[in-house]
Amino acid sequence: MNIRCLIVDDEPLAVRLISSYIQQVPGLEITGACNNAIDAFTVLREQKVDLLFLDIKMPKLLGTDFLRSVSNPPKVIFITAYRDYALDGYELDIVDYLLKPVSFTRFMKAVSKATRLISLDNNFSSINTEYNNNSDSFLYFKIDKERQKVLLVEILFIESSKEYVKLHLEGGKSLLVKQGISSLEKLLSPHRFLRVHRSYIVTIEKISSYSPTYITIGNNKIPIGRLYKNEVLEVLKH
Amino acid sequence: MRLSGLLSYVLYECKANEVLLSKEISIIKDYVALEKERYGERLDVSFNFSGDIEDKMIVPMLFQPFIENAFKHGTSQQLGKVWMSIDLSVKKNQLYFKIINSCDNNPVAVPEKHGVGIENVKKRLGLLYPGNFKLQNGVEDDVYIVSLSLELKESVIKKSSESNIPVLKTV
Repeated sequence: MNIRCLIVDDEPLAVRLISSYIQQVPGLEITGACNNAIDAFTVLREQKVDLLFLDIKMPKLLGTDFLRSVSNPPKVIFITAYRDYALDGYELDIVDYLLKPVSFTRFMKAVSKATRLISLDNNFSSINTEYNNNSDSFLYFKIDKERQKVLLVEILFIESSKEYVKLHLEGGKSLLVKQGISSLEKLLSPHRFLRVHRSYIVTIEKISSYSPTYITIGNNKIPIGRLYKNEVLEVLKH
Repeated sequence: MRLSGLLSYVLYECKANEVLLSKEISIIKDYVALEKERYGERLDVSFNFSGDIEDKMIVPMLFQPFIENAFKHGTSQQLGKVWMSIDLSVKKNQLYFKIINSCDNNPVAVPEKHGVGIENVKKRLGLLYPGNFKLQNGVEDDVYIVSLSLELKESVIKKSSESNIPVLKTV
């Protein structure tokens, strides 16, 4: 995926130069350019920006002050005609500090450093807690008079038996929860769990195959209730 | 840093009609992290953010009242270990948000006061997503559940962003 760059500089000539540099580098794309820091707030809010080329001396709001007030800023490269802000650069954890006039070689050096950091970050976040990694989410269920923590990835399907429900877990284990199935269903995300029968809820991502009448999870065949059939097949089709 | 981020978000960025959903999620995470400082090990929080979250827009601070409520009426009223689960997922334009917090069985701990905050959110939802949302809240055994399902609007972000790059067109 391309690295999305935003240029914030009040001088049109500087913007033109930096954008022509960006266009020469494969893997970079320009999402926008602003001639003041106030507009940059709007762009950051509405778009994903990976790399920010930021001038410092601008009317109304200094680049450094702007950066201080942004929550979760992207990677930043200062581009300025002044040498006096290097210390702020350390404080604000910027990637590089380019002094105008910027040569293409110097620009490339800054960009390659930023690229390295961004790809590091991306790897880190995809391994870590970003979206679609639900492996550590959990709920506490009422088991033996106390609430016990169960990781949701462990749950294969849920079966009702009278006033209890049985959580069928990975590795052939199961847990008996003192709660009715409809009451327990309210705790579960409908994007992740699916009621398929009066007595059964399944974890959608664990389904290995299905037919109009039953669902297979591992070695278990779970019936699809007549009342639930249309909705179940609708969800499974997507 | 987290606190200043939250403040600047509330003060400056929330003026927009809509913000990136991913931004809103990072604010939720920051807020919970702050509360976690207070509770320490006593609080166990489960996060799940999944589905088509990238590039979706949402009205700002929509979930915040629910989260604050969960802390205020739920976990802060309890002794010992407390837990909470925050689950948000998006499939196409359908968003599900569910927040669950432990609460004492004793009825005093779940006062009718929940009213004002939730009522305001309902009004706001009614204005912003008329007919496209479903909000349920209540106690189920000894946990408090709020679930919200919402049909997100088609995003119109591209238009407004273009106005910010007039300089590029002359390049």
